[in-house]
Amino acid sequence: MPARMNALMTAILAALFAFELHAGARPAYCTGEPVTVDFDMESIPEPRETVQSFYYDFLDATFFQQAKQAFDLPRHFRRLAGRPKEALNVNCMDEVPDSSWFTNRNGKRRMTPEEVERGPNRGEGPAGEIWTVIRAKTEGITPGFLIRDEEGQVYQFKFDPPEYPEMATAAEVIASRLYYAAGYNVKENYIVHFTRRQLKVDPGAKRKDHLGRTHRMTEDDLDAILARVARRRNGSYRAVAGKYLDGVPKGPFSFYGMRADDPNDLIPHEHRRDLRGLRLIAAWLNDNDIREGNTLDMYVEEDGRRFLKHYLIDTGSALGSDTTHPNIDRIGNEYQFDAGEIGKAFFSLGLYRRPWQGGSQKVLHPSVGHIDVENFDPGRWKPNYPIVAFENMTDADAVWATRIILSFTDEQIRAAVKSGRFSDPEAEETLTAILIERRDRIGRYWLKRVNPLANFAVAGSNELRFENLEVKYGFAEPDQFVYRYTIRSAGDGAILDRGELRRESIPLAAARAPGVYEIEIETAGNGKPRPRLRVYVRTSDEKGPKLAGIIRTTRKHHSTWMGNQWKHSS
Amino acid sequence: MDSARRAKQAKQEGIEPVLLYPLRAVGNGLERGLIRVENEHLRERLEDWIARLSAHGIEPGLGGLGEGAGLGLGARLSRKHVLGSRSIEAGLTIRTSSKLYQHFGLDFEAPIAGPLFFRAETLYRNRPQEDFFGIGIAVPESGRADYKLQDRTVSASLGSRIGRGAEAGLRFGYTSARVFDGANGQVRSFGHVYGSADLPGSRGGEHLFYGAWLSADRRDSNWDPKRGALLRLSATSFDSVNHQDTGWLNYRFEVQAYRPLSTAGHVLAVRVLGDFNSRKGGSGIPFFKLARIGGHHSLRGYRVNRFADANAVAASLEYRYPIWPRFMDAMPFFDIGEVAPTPGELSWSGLRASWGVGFKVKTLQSALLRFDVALGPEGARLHLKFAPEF
Repeated sequence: MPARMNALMTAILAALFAFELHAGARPAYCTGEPVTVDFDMESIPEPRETVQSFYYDFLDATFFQQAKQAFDLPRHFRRLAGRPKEALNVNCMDEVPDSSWFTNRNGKRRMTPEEVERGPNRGEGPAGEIWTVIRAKTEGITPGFLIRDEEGQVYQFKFDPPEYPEMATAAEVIASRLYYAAGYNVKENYIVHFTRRQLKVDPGAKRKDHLGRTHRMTEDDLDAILARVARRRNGSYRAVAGKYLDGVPKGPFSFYGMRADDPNDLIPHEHRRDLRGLRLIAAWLNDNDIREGNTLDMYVEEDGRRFLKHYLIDTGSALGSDTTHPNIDRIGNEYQFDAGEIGKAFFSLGLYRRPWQGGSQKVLHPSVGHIDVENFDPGRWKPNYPIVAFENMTDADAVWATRIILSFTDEQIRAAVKSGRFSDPEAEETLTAILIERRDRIGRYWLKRVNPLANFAVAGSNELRFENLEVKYGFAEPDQFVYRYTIRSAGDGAILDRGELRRESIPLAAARAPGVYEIEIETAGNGKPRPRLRVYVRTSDEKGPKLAGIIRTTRKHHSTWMGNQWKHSS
Repeated sequence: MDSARRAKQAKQEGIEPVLLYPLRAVGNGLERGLIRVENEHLRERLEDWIARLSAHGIEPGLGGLGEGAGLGLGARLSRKHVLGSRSIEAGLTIRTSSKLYQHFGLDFEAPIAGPLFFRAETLYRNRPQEDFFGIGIAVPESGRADYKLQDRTVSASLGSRIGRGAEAGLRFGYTSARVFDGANGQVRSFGHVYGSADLPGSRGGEHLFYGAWLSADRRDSNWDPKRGALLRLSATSFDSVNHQDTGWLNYRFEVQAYRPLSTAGHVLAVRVLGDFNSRKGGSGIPFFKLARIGGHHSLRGYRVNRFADANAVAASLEYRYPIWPRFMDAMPFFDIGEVAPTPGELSWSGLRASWGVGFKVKTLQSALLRFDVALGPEGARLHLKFAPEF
């Protein structure tokens, strides 16, 4: 009987295992045109506003979600098998369609440097000469206030710490420009300079004290706020003016789960590629404070429809800034509470030396702060808290995000940095060079771990062309790569052609008859095999072969490039 | 999209929400509570309240009632400029705990001339659940009994500050104690176990005492020392004033030393304690005044006050290192200790040992709490304390 029970349990586990491995797999290829817009912008009833707790966010991310993941056995099964759950909001071309979360911008069409510099801004910032202060800012750790310009538009003013002028304001603007160009929704942010005389306090303006009690705001209160912020040599002030978003704020979005009161929200956030891949973009920008509290859902009206739009906000802790001071060395290297690192330190009796310890913590420039390049490890970068979506990032998500990051040219990065309006050109040069270097480090790191082929296209009727991103971006030489392809009929799996080549195109002579074909490509760079990649082509009588789908695998196949042949160990 | 819609439906209607409901309910409750803490600025209000109390000379605090007292709460009211003099200070301390331990103290300090000062103290303590296991190093754990000790002490000191962190002086005073059966219903009462034994002090006692003390504190911090040393010495004579045949001389010392092993916060810490009592003639020593070891102060793998006798020595060695920079240190430790009727009978063979690991949770300004997990031949012990001791 025990033997039978064991067998039964084994069978149940095996069935669960098999089910989990195949759960959520998307179709390999499109039956029609690929989805380019994931239309989650239908009109919905107005959701309630959610309230977020800073402390709970920390506890939830650091302890509760980690514990939940630890007990998620199917997740472990999938990881052991090398088949983690892939993102759900991906079309058959392995791309993320536009949605209320993400709009393909620079990754799809190269923006001009001027467009990058301008970002989401549609105007020129607060209008008029005299701005009315209507409320002191009580949220967050930086002093600030809300103003109404002469056209009635409301802006939130945030400032720099006195010792590091331009640092936090520039970080806020530059990071939001790059997030925007990458595809995310961000606020309109403007660097403004003004004098005390340009501000007047509205008679009805309010401020809250540190105990939450509301008081009437006076000119003295305004002076007290301005006394705590950086002041320019000519006596004027510099601030970042964040334009109030259109719509009704509905609280932050979570990096896991779905909003129950948003019928458009159909994909668990931890399985959204735009949120998973955000990990690499945040790593590039060193946006360590990315967390639920720095996101915002807005109930907006566009084209007569009312729906939730999802924003990233408050990027003043990005780049070299930690808002009120430059980053400390831990930033980007370790969570605020990092059980893994604490465990290593404990069990090694303190002999374990964290990779970031002993760093120079050098402030590169007072306006730039501390952002690491030498010790920047794209695979190890961490925000302040663990983020479930980031932890779910697969190789395919990483390729997607890496491609977006690499799509930024040096000129575009320079343009984004220019939007920070540094007064010292040296600060601009320094930060530009750092972002370029971090971009390249991300490219080198991730492209080595994945199949670097991308940008597939059928050329004419007889060639499948692609680009090797490692070669394209100068991280490797073309002669370091060998591509082995196998063309199969997608219907019966019959092998129609196979070959090996060193150029970036595959002949499609075997795929001339109408039907769907799977082209499996194995890539070896410097003799090291990369995860396989499958491209699907549909051939019709009228149009000839046409690209129909792309699937990136993360399974580590056990074959090795041995001189001129592949040795399979499994 | 259909698969996504199905996934959402499954999540909202499937078995997972049912299974996770209890956890989710706890999480939601916690979240609501924390939102309230933030929205209503409860942390800031608490800080404001503490700051206001502090401005009035009142300092609330946790703990401070000694070993085995349970979770303690209390406050100290300090007053400067007493009796019209800027340099005279007085203080009132009130503490109580979850085990109903009580501590009321009144102290007064006034400068005399130069480094000389005068200090007067009066103290009432009620300790309802004190453990006693018998006398000697070989007494079994099964001999555990508990008693209630109420004592009052009035003392005056004449001291002098003799350098940075050092002072010495003379002290005299009166102390009276009463002993009752303990309040812990799960432990045999003191009267039941030791009622028939002729234990000195089993009904309490009254004593006059006088003596001298010396202390020198050269630690770089009293809540998170990394280097330096602390020395405390005292010699006190006790004489009965209620015709009981008790009288003894007490000598105590405590040495703490800290040596940094690196610039990264690795520290070796050592503490040695000695408590020696010498009977005057044939007089006895009240059992509650015997030297004792066991508990978070000495042998941490044993119960509080596990061993008692006229003489005791104990030593602890700790290796301290940061595991969460700025916020938490780990401290593997090794303790030894022994009690004996005379100092000459203290021997290596009688030593008891325990070991374990402690964790100190701290901020940049202070140590918040320390918890030790200790192992010894009699099992495992968990100690939690708020005082930045050792």
